[in-house]
Amino acid sequence: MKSITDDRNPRNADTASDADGDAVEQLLLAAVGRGDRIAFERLYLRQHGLLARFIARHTARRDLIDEIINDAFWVVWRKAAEFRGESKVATWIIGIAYRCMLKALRQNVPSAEQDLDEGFELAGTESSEAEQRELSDWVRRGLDLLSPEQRMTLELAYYLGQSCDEIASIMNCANGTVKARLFHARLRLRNSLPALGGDVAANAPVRK
Amino acid sequence: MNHEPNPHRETWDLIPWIVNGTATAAQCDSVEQHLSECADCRDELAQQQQFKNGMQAAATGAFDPQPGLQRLFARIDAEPSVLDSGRPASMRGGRWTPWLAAAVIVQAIGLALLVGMMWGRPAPEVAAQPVADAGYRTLSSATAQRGATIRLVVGPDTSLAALRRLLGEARLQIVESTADNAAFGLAPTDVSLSTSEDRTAHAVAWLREQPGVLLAEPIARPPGTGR
Repeated sequence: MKSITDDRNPRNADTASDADGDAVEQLLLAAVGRGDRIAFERLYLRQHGLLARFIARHTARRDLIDEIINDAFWVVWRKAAEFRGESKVATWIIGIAYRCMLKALRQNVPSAEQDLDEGFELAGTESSEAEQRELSDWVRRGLDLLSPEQRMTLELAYYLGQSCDEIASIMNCANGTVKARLFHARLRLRNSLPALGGDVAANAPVRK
Repeated sequence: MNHEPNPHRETWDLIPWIVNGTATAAQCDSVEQHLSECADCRDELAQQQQFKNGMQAAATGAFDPQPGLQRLFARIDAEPSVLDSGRPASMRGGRWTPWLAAAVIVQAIGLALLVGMMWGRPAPEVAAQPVADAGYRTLSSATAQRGATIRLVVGPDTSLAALRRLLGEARLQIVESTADNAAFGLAPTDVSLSTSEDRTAHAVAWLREQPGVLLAEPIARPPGTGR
C-alpha cells in the first residue's frame, strides 16, 4: 500500500543522489580553492539557476539578481580554500548568497508593487496557465501574511529544500528559532489564508 | 511541566521537513503513523505540500548564466592582488608570473635606454652655454681665450664698486684674469650676444671712454672657434 508520505519526496529517497551531488560539489570547490577556473564555472552553473530563482522572489530586477549572485560567487572564489566541510557545499553557497542578498536589498529598496511573476515564465506544462497563475497568486497572498523572517525561513525550506539545521546555519540562528518561525508562519497561513480554489481554509483551531 | 510525548505536536513540527524531503526515515515513520489517525494533520500536510508546490511554480524563469559568469571572470581578472592574497604561493604562481616577468623586462629596457642616453650626452652642459663655458680661468691657461671677448685693464685706483658699475652698464662679466689680477677677460652677460663682433667693438669703445679704464681691447679669436 502506498504510504501517505511517499509523494512528499522524503530525503531518504534522494539520499544517494544528494550525497553524490554534494560529493561532486566538494571536489569542485576543492579545485576552486586551488584556482581552477573550469571547476569554478561548473560550480557556478550548477547553482546559478536555483539561486537566481530564489533571489528573484525578492527582487524583479535582473541586474540586481546578477549582481547578488556574482557577489556571492566572488566570495566563493576567494574563500573556497577555507571551506572545511561543516555543511553541504550548496548550503555554504546559499548562506553566502543569502547574506549578499540581504545587503543588496537593504541598499536597493524594492518597489512597493513589485510583481514577482513579472518577466518570469510559469513552470509546468501539465496545468493550464490560469491554474498556475491562481496557484502563484495564492502563494503570494500567503507570503504577504508573513513577517520577513517567517517568509525567508519558509522559502529556504520549501524553495531551496534546506533542512532545519541548514537554515539555522544560513540565517545564523538557533534551530529552535527556525522551528518557531515555521510554526507561527504555518499557523498564520492556516488561520488567515483561504484555501486554494476559494474554499474556506481549514480554519479549525489548531491543536498544539 | 508535562513531558508526556505529544504525537500531534511532534507531527505538526515535522510536517515542513516531510514536505521538503529533509526528514529522517524515523521521522517519516513517526509522522505517517500519526497521520493515519489525525485528519487535522493530514489537512495541514496537504496545505503545506500545496504551498511548497506553488512556491516552486511561481518563479522559474529562464536565466542565462553566461553573461554574469563572464562579468565575474572579468572582475576576478581585474583584482588579482585581492584574489591571490588568500591563496598559498604555490597556487597563485602560474597566471601572474608572466605579467610580472614582462613588467621586469620592460623596466630593465627602460633603465638601459636611460643609462645609454645619459652616457651618450655631451657631458658638460657648459659646452652649450657660453657663459658657463667661460668659467673663471687665468689668462695663461690653454683655454683662456675661449670665453672672454674683451681684455680689460683698469687703473689701480678703481674701486670694486666702480668696476661693478662699469661691468653692469656694459653688460659684461669677468670670466678670466691674469695671475696678478692686473688684467681681466670679459664676456657678455647676455649669451645670445656673445658672438656679435659689432657688439664687442661697441662695448670696447664705450669702455675706453670710461674713467679709470687703462686698456680695453677685443680678444682675437683663433680661426674656427666660432666666437
